[in-house]
Amino acid sequence: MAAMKAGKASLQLSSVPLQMLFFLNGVYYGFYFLATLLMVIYKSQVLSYPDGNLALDLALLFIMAILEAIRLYLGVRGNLKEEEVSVGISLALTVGSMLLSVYFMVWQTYVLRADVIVGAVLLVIYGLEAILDVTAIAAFASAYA
Amino acid sequence: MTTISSLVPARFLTLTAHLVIVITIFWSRDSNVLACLPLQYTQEQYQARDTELIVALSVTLGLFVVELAGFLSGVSMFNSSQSLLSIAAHVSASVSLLFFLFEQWSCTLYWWIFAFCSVLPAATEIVIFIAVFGLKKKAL
Repeated sequence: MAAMKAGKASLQLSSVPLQMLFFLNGVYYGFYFLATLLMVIYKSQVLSYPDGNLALDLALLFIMAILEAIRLYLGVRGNLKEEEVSVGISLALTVGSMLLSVYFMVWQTYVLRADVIVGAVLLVIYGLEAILDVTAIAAFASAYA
Repeated sequence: MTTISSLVPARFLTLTAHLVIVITIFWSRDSNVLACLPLQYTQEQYQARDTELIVALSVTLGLFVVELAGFLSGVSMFNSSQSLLSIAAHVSASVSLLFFLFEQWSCTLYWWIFAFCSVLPAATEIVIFIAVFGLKKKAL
């Protein structure tokens, strides 16, 4: 449902940079999940975890993966169908993902330097996505489609 | 190319993995600097070697910006030859830098890794930039 804009060359409201970011985010998150999981396993062998912390870290990692999947699906769908509601829900879930990535960078039981670096790259991607989400919602909402 | 090939995510991931390792080495370059100093060294010698390694790592990060700019702006995202070269270079860089970090290789070896695995893809990237923007050739 592209909007009809008199005299405007492009009828397409979907954001190409946002779509690119979603795709790269999905791919990078696979790498991040694997890296964090392997580092947690390494830490559990080399360092001693207090009671319950290992289960908490692993549970939050898997919750983050599920949240990421839902977030990316809603974002891609909303961007392609030019629906602002889906992109809005995706933006709200991005906040949750940001908090979880900060957890793995700062509040985790043991934080390695590599944890901080992969987390920082992920946060940069989330930040750019949040900005492009807002511009996309603005574009979709003001089109009277 | 109308379909998304699997070269695009592979190239992005190898680029990011190389970047992560370079930043890690930046953070913990002490053992590598000690590996290329003689047993009895002065503080000035240490500083000189340290500065050399910092310069090498910073230039690597600068070349990363060039390559990421070319990749993300679409100039060479779908160029298969550049993608293959980039993937091969960054995979070899990631593996060698992993050894560099964990086996505490001497800091002079970094220049070799830098030449083959950072300068080469960045140079071809610049060639593609010139071809697309300067000579107005369609992105290959």
